[in-house]
Amino acid sequence: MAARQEIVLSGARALRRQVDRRNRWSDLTLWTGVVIVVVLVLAGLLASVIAPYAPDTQHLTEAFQSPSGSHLFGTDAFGRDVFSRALHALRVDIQLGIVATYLPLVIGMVLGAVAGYYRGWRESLVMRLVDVTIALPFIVLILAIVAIVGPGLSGVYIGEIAVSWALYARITRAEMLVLREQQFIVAAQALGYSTPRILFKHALPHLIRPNLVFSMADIVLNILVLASLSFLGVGVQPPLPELGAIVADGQQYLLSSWWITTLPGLMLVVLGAGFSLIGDALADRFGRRLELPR
Amino acid sequence: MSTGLNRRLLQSLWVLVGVSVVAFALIHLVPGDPARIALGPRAPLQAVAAARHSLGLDKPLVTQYLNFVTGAVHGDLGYSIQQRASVGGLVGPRILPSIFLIACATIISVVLAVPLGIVSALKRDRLPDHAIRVVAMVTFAMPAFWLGLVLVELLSLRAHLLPVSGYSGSAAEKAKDLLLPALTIALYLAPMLIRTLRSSVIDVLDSDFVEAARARGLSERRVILKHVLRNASIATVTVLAVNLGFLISGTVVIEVVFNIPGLGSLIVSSVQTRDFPVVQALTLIFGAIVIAVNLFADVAYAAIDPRVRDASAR
Repeated sequence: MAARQEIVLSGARALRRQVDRRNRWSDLTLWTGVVIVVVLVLAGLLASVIAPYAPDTQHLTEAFQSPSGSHLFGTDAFGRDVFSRALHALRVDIQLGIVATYLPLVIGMVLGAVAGYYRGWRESLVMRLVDVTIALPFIVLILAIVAIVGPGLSGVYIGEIAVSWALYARITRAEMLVLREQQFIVAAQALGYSTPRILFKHALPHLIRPNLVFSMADIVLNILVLASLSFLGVGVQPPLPELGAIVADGQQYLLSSWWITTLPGLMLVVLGAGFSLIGDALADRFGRRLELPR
Repeated sequence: MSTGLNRRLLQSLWVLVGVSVVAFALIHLVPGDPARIALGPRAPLQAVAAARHSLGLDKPLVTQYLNFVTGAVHGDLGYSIQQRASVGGLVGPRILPSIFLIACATIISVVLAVPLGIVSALKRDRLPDHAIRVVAMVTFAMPAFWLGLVLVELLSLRAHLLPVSGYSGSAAEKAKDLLLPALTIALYLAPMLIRTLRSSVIDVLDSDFVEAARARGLSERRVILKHVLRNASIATVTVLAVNLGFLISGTVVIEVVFNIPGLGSLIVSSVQTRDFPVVQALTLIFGAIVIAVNLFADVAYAAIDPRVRDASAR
């Protein structure tokens, strides 16, 4: 009897150690991610205060200076301070990342919840729309929308919002299908609560977690899409600074002035890694996975 | 099996119709006159009218859609406004470079990601797992075009190991040209594969049949070789099919960076010049490719895995 108890206890202790290990790690990743994101968001918001130079003032005599104390990221072909430009660009990128992630999150959650709760024609309609949106590689659909609207930041906003909602709708509907069979929802229905009350007060808290976890990866993707489109010349238009556009500026001076492409790109990597770290930690805590849902 | 297969076929067909409607609608959503926007404000009136006529914009909407679809089915993808050539003629020679690039990238990516994903799952929550996950996270955050440029700078311009960009010469030279872009796309795709493989291998490790295999006294080595790896290989194929859209998205950008004459660089240049018929045709083509590959993967998966086969027959 005692031996059996000992086996059970040692198993429990091993499990406990595993959980502790996981929690310590996810604390570390969460806070590292939060620090990175907070610092970069503040840097972007306060760009006009903390940037040592104006982002588009040209000093042709100071072109192509390598990174130094006075020019942290060096200067570009027009003698503009790359660090100051990158700080101003950060704001453009983060703003798009947040708007093009959380507006679609709300749209997708509403459509997905309605689809999963009512089923029937509403579900068919929403899910067929999702299928079509997801069938197209996201950059192809966004490029097509930019072709319609015309190159520029507004085209990217419209394109990304039109694409991003679909995955949130898919996640939410799948969760809702499980939830609607649960006792507390059935009980709420039996008590005669209104549908909005059931959806918002009872279902929403359960639906928000998986969407929040996915949104962290989505922010990274959305910012990278903006940077890619600007790099390709159909996103943010000059003179507005954007990190991908700065990388494109430096492309032709890759060998002689590596800093113009390398350092702003590195800033994108750090920003993306910050969001990913938070997402990974949230996924660990909520027991969710981070990969793209299909 | 057959009812499940029929339903899956029908669903794919519906999605394809949806994609064709989206591709068709593009030109009608352009604010203003598409022919005028494509040709620019200084183009003479007759030229604009002629372009509008050749695009069929003066016909009723339903006729236009039917013409678009029947044309596409017969291989007639329309006429480019800017390049004054049939879209089919522009697209044709660009298909193979894109396919080669995607194939090379997929192979490199699988070679990198499969071992890492499995190690990550086996050493779950220990140092190797943490290291692999952090590296994957940082790689995931790298813009593909930037990664490409950094690799060009290091491997081509400084170390002179590989060509900078382009796609020409003999088959061997072309393969060498594709190496660096394929590596870039592979690194872009790998984090997604590692992440998904890790969680699917963890699922297998926690499953009842692995528990049962251990209880039967099989060595850990045999459990991993016989049960875990076999399931992981099926998972790899599914993960690849699911992430095809993601893979194509990366390829589009990388083709431009490395100056490869593929479908991706064509859609980018067509968006830049607002050559609507080409954008429409490529939207349809990319959609059709993704739908076809996913359908194929699902059918293959159902054929291999009896659980899926039986579930879809129900």
